[in-house]
Parts: sequence; C-alpha cells; structure tokens
Amino acid sequence: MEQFSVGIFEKLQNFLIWAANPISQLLLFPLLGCLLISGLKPGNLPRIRFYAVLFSALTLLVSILMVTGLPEGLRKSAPFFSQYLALQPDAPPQFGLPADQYKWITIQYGEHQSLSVNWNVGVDGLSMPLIVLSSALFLGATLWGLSRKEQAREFYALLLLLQVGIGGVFVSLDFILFYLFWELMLLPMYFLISGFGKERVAAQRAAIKFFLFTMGGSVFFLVSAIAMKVLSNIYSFAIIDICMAAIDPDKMGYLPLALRTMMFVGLLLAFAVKIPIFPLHTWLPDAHTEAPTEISVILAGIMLKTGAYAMLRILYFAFPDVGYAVGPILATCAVISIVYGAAITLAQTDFKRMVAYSSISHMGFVVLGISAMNVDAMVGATFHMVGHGIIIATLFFLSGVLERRYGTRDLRQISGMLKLAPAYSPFLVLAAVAGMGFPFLAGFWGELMVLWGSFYNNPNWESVRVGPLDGATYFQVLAVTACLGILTSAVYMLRMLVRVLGGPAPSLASQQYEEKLPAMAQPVLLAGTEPKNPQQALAWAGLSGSPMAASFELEAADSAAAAEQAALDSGAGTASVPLDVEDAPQPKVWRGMRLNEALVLIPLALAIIILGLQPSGLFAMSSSLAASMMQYFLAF
Amino acid sequence: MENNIQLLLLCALPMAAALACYLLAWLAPATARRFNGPLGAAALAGSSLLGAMLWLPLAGANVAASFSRPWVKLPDTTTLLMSGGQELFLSIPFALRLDLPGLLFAITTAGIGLAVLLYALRERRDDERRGLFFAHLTLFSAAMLMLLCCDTLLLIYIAWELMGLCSYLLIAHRATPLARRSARLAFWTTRATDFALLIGIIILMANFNVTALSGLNIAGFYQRAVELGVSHAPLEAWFGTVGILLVIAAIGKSGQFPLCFWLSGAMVAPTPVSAMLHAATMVAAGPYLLYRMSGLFFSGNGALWGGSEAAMLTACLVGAVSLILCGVMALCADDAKRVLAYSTASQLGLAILAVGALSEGAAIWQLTAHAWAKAALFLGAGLLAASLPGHSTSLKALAGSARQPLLRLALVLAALSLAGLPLLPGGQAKDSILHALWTRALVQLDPATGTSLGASFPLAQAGWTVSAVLLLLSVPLTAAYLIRLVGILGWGKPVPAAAAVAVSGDAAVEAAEHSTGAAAPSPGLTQGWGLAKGLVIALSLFGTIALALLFGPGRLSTRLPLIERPWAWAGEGSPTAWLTAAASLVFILGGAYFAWRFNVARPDEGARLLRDGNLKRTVAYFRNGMLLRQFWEKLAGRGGWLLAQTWSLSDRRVVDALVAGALSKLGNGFSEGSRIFDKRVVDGARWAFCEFWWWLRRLHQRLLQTGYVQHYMFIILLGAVVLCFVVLRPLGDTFKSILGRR
Repeated sequence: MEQFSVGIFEKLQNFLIWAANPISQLLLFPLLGCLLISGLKPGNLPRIRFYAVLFSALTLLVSILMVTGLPEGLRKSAPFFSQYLALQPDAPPQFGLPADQYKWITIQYGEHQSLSVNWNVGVDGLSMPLIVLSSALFLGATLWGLSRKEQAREFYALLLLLQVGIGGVFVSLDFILFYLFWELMLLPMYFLISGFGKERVAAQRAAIKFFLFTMGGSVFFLVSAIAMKVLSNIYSFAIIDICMAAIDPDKMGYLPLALRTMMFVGLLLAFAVKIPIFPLHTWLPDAHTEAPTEISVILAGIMLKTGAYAMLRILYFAFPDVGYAVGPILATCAVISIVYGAAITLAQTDFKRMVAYSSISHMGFVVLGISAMNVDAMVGATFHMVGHGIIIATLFFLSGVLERRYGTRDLRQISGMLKLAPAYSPFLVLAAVAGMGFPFLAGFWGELMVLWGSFYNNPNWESVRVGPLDGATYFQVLAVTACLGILTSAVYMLRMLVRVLGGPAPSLASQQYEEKLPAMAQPVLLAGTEPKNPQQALAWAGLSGSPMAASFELEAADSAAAAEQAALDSGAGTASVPLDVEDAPQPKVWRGMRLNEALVLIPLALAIIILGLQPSGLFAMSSSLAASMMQYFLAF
Repeated sequence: MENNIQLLLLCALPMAAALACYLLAWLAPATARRFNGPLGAAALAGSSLLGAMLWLPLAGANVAASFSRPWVKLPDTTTLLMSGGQELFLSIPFALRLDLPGLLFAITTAGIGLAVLLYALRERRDDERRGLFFAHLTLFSAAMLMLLCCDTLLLIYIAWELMGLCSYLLIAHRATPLARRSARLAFWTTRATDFALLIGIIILMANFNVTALSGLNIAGFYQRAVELGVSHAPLEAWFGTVGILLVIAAIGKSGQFPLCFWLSGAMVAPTPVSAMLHAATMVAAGPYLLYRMSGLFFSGNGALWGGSEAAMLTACLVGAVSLILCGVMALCADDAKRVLAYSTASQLGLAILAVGALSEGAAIWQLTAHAWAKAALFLGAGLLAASLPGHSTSLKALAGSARQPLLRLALVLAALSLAGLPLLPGGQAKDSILHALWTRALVQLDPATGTSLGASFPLAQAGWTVSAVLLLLSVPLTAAYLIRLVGILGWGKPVPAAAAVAVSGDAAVEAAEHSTGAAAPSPGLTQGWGLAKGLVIALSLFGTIALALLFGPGRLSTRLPLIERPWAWAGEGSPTAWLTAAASLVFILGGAYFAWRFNVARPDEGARLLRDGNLKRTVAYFRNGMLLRQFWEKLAGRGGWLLAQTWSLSDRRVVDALVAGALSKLGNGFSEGSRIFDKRVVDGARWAFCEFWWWLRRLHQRLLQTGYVQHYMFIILLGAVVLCFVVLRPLGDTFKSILGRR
C-alpha cells in the first residue's frame, strides 16, 4: 500500500527510470509516434511522413544499440543512456527492470498472497535478432510507402501501433503482458488489411478471416494460460514461474499427461494459426494477397515469426515431455506444410499469393526444427526465422514494384522486367535464388541446420516409438521428405524469375495500366513534358516504360544522351503541361529505382548476402540458449 | 599444415573476376561488354599459370597443397553431447586442398576455360548481352575450380549448386522458348539429384563429425572399430549409403543414363557453353567428387580394410550402362553437337565405372583426357558450324566442311584419343580401367594385402565381370561414333544447305532455333576466326600428344622421373596389360572400319541399311534419346503439375472449407444455439412465470373471493395460526438464544 504514499516527485522519478530503459524505449518510441501522428491533420503529409520515419528510425536505433551497447564513456555521461549495455547472448534475459520496479497490477488476497501482473520484460539471444529484424522491416515499410497520400495519417498511426504490439510480444516475460501485446498486434493488423487493401470487399473478407482465425487460436491460449495458472497454484504470471511450475511435480507435474497435452495443444493452436501450420494456414494467402505491400511485408516478415518464437519461449519450455509425445505429429504437420505448401505454390499465378504459399512452406522448416528438440534444429529454426524474414520481405517489396509497373500481379501477364525495370531485377534474382535455399545466401543455413538437426537427433527420440519406427529414424524420414519442398521451391522460384524477367516488355501502345499509374505519371504519358533534368527524365521514362530509356543499357553515368532521347521519345516539342511540383512531387530516382525503394532494397540484399557468407554471428546469438534448452530437454 | 596462398589465389582469382564482371554488368553495361571477356580470360590465365607453378613443387614432394582458415561456427548437438556440455560449436573451416590429380584437373579446367573464353570472344562479338554472358562463363569456371580445390564439404556443396545455377543461366542465354525449356530442365534435373549430395554431406557431418574431406579418414574409422572390438558392418553400411547418394548426385550432374536427356537438351546453348559444360566444368564434377570420396567405396589400411559392395556395384552398373546406352545414342544421333553430348555422357560413365572398379586414379586420367579432346571437338564443330549459313550443326549440313588438313588432323587426333587408341591419353585411361576390372574380377588380387578382393565381395565381383564385358563391347561402339563424326566432318560429301535442315524431331526445331538465334554472324568464316582455329588445333595437340608425354601414366613419360603419378596404371608393362591393349586395339579398328565404310566410304550402303524398317525405328528411338526426356517430363513435370493444381484447388475447396467452415459452423452453432436457448428457455421461463401469476390470479378469483364474510374471517384466522407457527416461533427461539447467550 506504500504505492499510494509515493509523492508526485517520486512517481516522476520512477517514470524517468522506466523511460530510460531500452526496452521501454523500444515500445515508447512507436507509441509516441502513433499518438503524435494521430494528433496531426490528415492533410499534413510532410509532418506525418517525418514523424513516421523519425520514430521507426529511432526504434531501429534503439534495437541496434541493444545489441552493440554504448561505449562506457557515453553511458556514464547521461543517465538516459546508462542502461545501454551490450547484449550478452548467453546470459538470462537482459534489460529488464529490477523486480521492485516492475509491479504493475497487484491483487492482494489473504495476508501474504498477492497475484500480480508485472511489467516483466527482457530480451535475450532468442528475441533480440527478431527485434532487430522487426524494427528494420518496420522502417523499411515506412520508407517504402512514403508517397502514400490517402489516409496516410491513419496508416502510419496504425503501423506504429502494430510495431508496439509486435515489439511487446518479443520482450514480454509475463503471461498477461504477453497476451495483451499478442492481441494488440491483431487489431491494427485487422484495420491495416481491411482498410488499405486494393479491393475493399475482398480485403475486408480477408481481414475478417484473419481476425477470426487468430482470435480463435487466442481463445485457446487464454484458456490454457488460465488453466496453467490455476492448476499450478502459484501467485505470479511470469512465464518463467509458470513454466517451472509446469514441470514441478509438486505444482503441476502430477497432472496426467492427457491434461497437460490438452494445455499444450491449447497453446499450440494459438501459435500454429500465426505460423501457420498445415490445416490452419488458409487465412494466410488471402490476407497476404489483399493487404497492401508494406503490410504483407510485416505480416510475412515478422508476424508469422511471433508464433514460432512463442513456441520456443513458452510451449517447449513448459511441456518438454509433452513435446516428445506430440513432436512426431507436429513434425509431420510441419513436413506436410513444407511439401504441400510448395506444391500449391507451383499452381499459383498471382505473385503475392505465390510468395504467401511459399512462406507457408518455409515456416514449415521452422516448426520442424523446433519439434526436433535439439541444438542444431532449434538454432536452425531461429536462423531461418530471420533469414526467411529478410528474403520474404524483399520478395513482397518487389511485388509492390511489379504491381506499380504492370498494374497487375498476374504472372501470366508480367514479362520483360529486365527491359522495363532493369534496376530492380538483381534484387528479384537474389531474393528468388535465396528463396530456393541456395548456398551462400540467407535461406540456406536455416534449412541446412534444420535438416541436420533432424538427421542427428536428440538421443531421447530413440526411445519414442512412431508406428514401426523409432523417433530418430522417423525424423530422418521426415528430413528426406522435406527436401522435396526445397526442390519444388527451385521449380517455382525459377519459373517466376523466367516469367517476370524474360520476354518482351509491355509496349506503350498495348499496355493497359496507364490509368493505374500514379497521377504524376499521367502528364508524361498523355501529353509529354519537358523533363527538368536527366534524372527526372529517367524517372518518367522508367515509369512510362519507354523502350529506349528503360533498356538495360541505360545508366546514370552517361544519362545525358539517353535523357535527350527519352525526352524525344516522350514527345518533347509538344506543348508542355506545367507540372505543379507542390501537388505531385516527383519521387527521387537512383539508378532507375525510386530512392526510397533503393534505400530499402539495398540493405535487404546486403543482409541476404552477408548472412549467407558468414552466419556465425547469428548462430552465436541463439545457440547458448538452445544448448541449455537441449540439456533441459534431455532430462525428460 | 602450411597455408598455400597460391592455392587460394588459384581458386579466388576467377571468382573475384566473376564478381567484378557482374558488378560491371549491373553498373556499366557498355564497359562490361567490352571488358568482361578479357577480364575473365585474364583471371583464368592467371589460374592456369598458378596451377602450373604449383605443379612442380607438389609433384616433387608428392604432397597436397592446402589452405585453411576458420569460417563458420555451427552449434552442434553431437559436439555438445560428446564434450559433456563443455563445447558447443563445431567449427567449419574454409579449407582448400588440392592433391596432384586434383591439380592436374584444375589446370585442365583453367586452361580449357581460358581457351573457351578466347573462342567466345570471337564468337560472341556481335552479341548484345555478351557482358553478362562472359560473367556467367567466368563464374562457371570459377565454381568448378572452387569445387576442385575445396576441402570443406559445405563449400563443395556450394560450388556444386553454383555450377547448376551457371549452367541454367548459360543454357538459357539464347532466350528462345526452347533454350529456356532446356535450361530449366537441366537445372531442375541436376537440382533434384543435388539433394542426394546434401543428404550425404549431412550424414557425414552429423554422424561422423567430418567437416572436411581431409578429415574423412575412413580407414581410421575401420581401425577404431577393430580396436573397440566391434564389427565394422554398420560403418560400411553408412559409408556405402553415402557412396550411393554420391553416385546418384553424379547421375544428375554428369548426365548419366536415366537422366542423360538434359545434356543433349543443353546443346541449344552457344558453342562455348557446350564446350565448357562438357569438357572442363559441370559434368566432370560428378566423377571428380567420387574420386575425392572414393574411400567410401573401398578403404584399406594394411591388413585392415572395408568397403561397400552395394556402392561399388551401383557405380559400376551406372557407369557401364551409361557407357553403352549413351554410346548407342551417340551413334544414332544426326547432329554433331548431339553426338558429342551423348559421347560425353558415355565417356563420363567410364570415369564413374573406374571409381566402381576401385581404380580412381584412372578416373581422373580419363576425365582429363576426355576434357581436352572434347573441348577440341566441340570448338571445332562450332567453328565449322559458324562457317555455314544458319549455323546448323546437323551432320548432313556439316558433311565435308573440315577441309583444311591441320583442322582435320586436330579433329581426328582428338577423336582417336577419345576412342581410346592405345598410347593416347584416352586409351591409357580406358585400358587401365579395363585391366583393373578384369583382373579384379577374374584374377582375384589385392596387391596391398594379398587377400582376394573378389572372394570377399562376390556381388561386386559380379558387377566387375558384367561391366568388363560391357566396357569391351563399348570400345568398338565408341570408335564407331567418333570415326563416323570426324569421317563425315572431314571427308563426307557436302549436301546443299537447304536439304541439310530437313532433319527430324527435336533436331529440326533446334536447327530452326539456331538459325533464328540471337547475334548470328554473317555466313562464311570471315576474318578473325584464325585465332579460334589455332585454338582448336592447339587444344587437340596439347590434349593428346603433349598430355600423354608430360603427364601420362604409360611408358612414354618415364623419362620424367620426378613426377609421382597417382593415376599410374597398376599392371603397367605386365603381359596382361599388353593383352588388354591389344584387344582394345583390335576392337577399335573393327568399330572404326564399319563406321568408315557405312558413313564415308559407301554412304549409300549405310543409307540402304537404315531404310530397313526395324532398324530405322530403333535408330529413331535412340536418336531421340530413348524418349527419356518425354518420360521424365510426363512423370515429374505433368505429374507434379497435376498434383499442384489438384492440391491448390483442394486447399481452397477442401481444407479452407473444412477449417474455416468448422470455425463458421462453430460460430453459427453458437449463435443459433443462443437464439434457441433465448427463445425456448429464457423466453419460456418468462412465459411460465407469467402463466403462473395468471393462474394464481384465477385461483384467487375462483377460490378466495367468494363474497361471504365468514369465509374471509376463516382465512384470516388460518393466516394468523400459520404466522404464529411459521414466523413467531422461530423468532422467539432466536430471541431466546440471544438472551440465553447473554
């Protein structure tokens, strides 16, 4: 009750201590951005954009600083930076506040018993890479859509709110807090899909489907969580407490395996919908197809990973013995996801739908890795979460480019990107080849480690029977089957590449997409305008698909001649329509790409290559946690 | 072991050049068109030079050059458990290692790559996209060099995959539908079998903690098993499994029998690509890898040895069957490049057979001999085709086009070496393999231990016997198709160009593709082809005579005593060896005679033979590659497509319907249930309540309101009594108890 006696000054001081915590800042910056943007006028585009970029960039900065830490001098100089130590991947979760400072809601009953929901947060080697990935992709998503004009305020406010939710899921170490953020992800996502999709009706249907599936899973999560809490008879919602109680024979361990399996399955349902695992995946293609580009990126790049993250953080921690019992079934579902998802991907003609199904196939590897319960496979799964996040984000960003350039995502109609938009094609090649699991690129190591882990298993599997086989052999069979999925990925990615890159570029006369182009391209297409400078000419030529200007030879270095030619092509000499620069700002162009898009794509491509060449750093992040979990699993 | 920087450079130079080429092609395409070719050629020249510089020190000391530095630290379960939780990471080094045979083939790869790039500089002079083309070619050679040099298993896999990707890019270079289809077919076929390699590598790494080839001391594993007093049968089974997986990978990569269709399809590509693909890179990777891991098949250490019969048998049969069947296809093919393509599959079958016959040194010698001769033949055929209108490579069109004596000599020499004429490199390799096979099968010897090999491996012995017979049969066959090829090219009767295009099946389409292909130089050999011609002649001379003199295992090169040759022939100089050579010479002469007679001397006789119905049908069947492509396309392509479509449909109609349907049914059921509950139960309760009051009221009216005063008084009395008993008495009791407590 001493809380009520604290004066306003102490409260302020407490708040400042809380706000100086990096994890608080990780959530505070997007929240602040969300609130600030909500307060602006809808037409105040420059300010909206500024805040959106500023706060996502600050969040990314915070998350990077959490990994690297600040030098000691800087940390000492200002109390605000004092908590920025470097992350130590082999330590227990870091950056949390001391226990007496994170009391949040306390229900007192009896004299010594209180039930408290605490601000119990922290990060470790498992969540940190995902946090960095998330912040980076949110900044990318913000940068990507900077030319958005309609409902920009709502869009960015919701995006930042979504970032709060996703960041919260990765940092919270308390069941109720986790559940809060888990649901907080859902709401902005629902509005972002339903409100900003291209086709309203379909987008709303997809969003409702997404919402219902996820809510349906979350309900079971809540039921299981409450059951765990009630049956374990402890007075804390901290994940670690509940999970330790779950295996403690005095608290919950005495419960029959069937009951514990039911709780396991309840939690699993919530996570499996998010990942998604085989029979629960059907919301995903619809949601991805209907969502705007940036939201697809967030959805596939980060949101799917929250499910797998929660499986490692909660599920296998609390029920290792159930993990041995249910593991073969779960792994079978995962391999079905891999092979079945890949086979369905083959039949898709819509670019986004194809990428969406491929991500079902790839997330199957993550689940297979988690269910194998050993170091290699778990580390492979966490690595694949990050690698796949980067690759799939690149592919979805490029789907945005295709949609803008061609006005369609139908692979049967898209061709000649090598001629129409040559600057983007290396990125498409890189992402597609990485998506095939090609060695030296980010997608390879995760798959390799998962397969490896399935081949040489946790020795406990040898005593598990799966039909006529023992568990270890069964996992080997599954691993060989999963190779079919990788093989199929080569088929669909290559087909996509051939269709998109090769063939003739659509000519100006026959293309049907003029009306779908942004308004600023219209004058160029219809009347022709004097370009102000070569770069502008390039931009317009690139947009209008003029065969000369967009051919592969075009480059900024000797662009002057090409610009003249482009100007001629786009009908220079006709009456020039004065272009109102204030109304329709030309996007800046770098080497045929919009500048903001280049700023997003180039780091992603570099990340794909660097993670492929030298994966040790990322391995080192999660491996000590995986090793301790493995030794923990071995005891069951 | 000391780090050998030369080796690193040998491997890294072409890779760096390839990267530079790609960057140029992206950033400055015009510059790339001009400089990518020379850049790649310079890098490959540097690599060959480095290889040559490595040769003498290595050969003198008979050691392997190696380079190693830390690369990736993989967290690993086995390491964790073995060390009792102390050590977590398995460190995978970036390790290169090149032994003498490897170096021989590395020099071959770099040299042929250089020659091909020089040739391509002329041939692709007018190609718009030659910047990227040269980048791909350089990367292709670089990947092969990486495969040759790498010691780390994962790096080998990486190089292996990289080659697959390059082959795709290069085959698809013409960008016609046929080229794309062939390229995709090649990529998918090789990629499908690549998983065998990946799984094999994973088994080696996960089960044996072997990360690099030099750590794969199989004899040591057997030794340890003996020391521990356990049977090494499980070890043999594991190693045999990996061996078979490697053979499967080689079947895909080297276009062996059931998957040989992609090699002939790859002929759509420009000549330099074919030359590089067939001679120096890609296809040679399969046998080379088998050579490097030949310990998996058989490994001996003094009196202790072990081996997997199943793996030996698989290698022997795959090799021998490809040798024969692809040879027949080559004999029946009517397109010069196709003859060469099938001959590649056949000749590499021989190399795989050599590994199965446990004479892996001969496999390397066969690969080397084949690479030089095949490069000369491919570039020669391309050169001749370039002089024709439409660049047709059909045999009819090319008949008699090699009129210049030097060129003719070069082609004949290369063909004879491939056909296995004794004393030429190809002949040395083939005779050595044949000798090994039949001595292993019949004489039953193991020179190291004196124990009899054939007796301990009865299955493998059967395989050796069968493949010795098949190999002997293939000798006249090989001679026949090669003599037919060079005979027609050099001495055939020219036919008018218009008639030449009229060939059947895929070849016709292909010929049409060729004629419409991008960047056709003007008909006739114009200026600038002199260098290319010189290249062909030099390749042929070097690849036959100089190779045999400098590096050959036979008697010829004993004057160079400083060179220890691991590919030396075990039975060299023995009477059995002379017997083998004499037999193969007779067979070659026989095959060559028939080929010459029916194709060059009396072509009308050959044509008459072919007019016979049965033979014609058989020839057409083999000409179309035994319809293997159609078979696999039906099976995998059509089948996969159907599966994908069905599953895609069922995903929406069945799975989605079931799951989402169940969800919505649940929701509907809940709301409907609530409605019914509300109506029946909640509403019903209200209704019942009202009814009850209504009934009470009626009771009240009927029974109580009678109008008589005495009735009313009675009721009041009754009420008072009830009140006394029901209410007042308990109240009194309560008071009493309260008072009593006081």
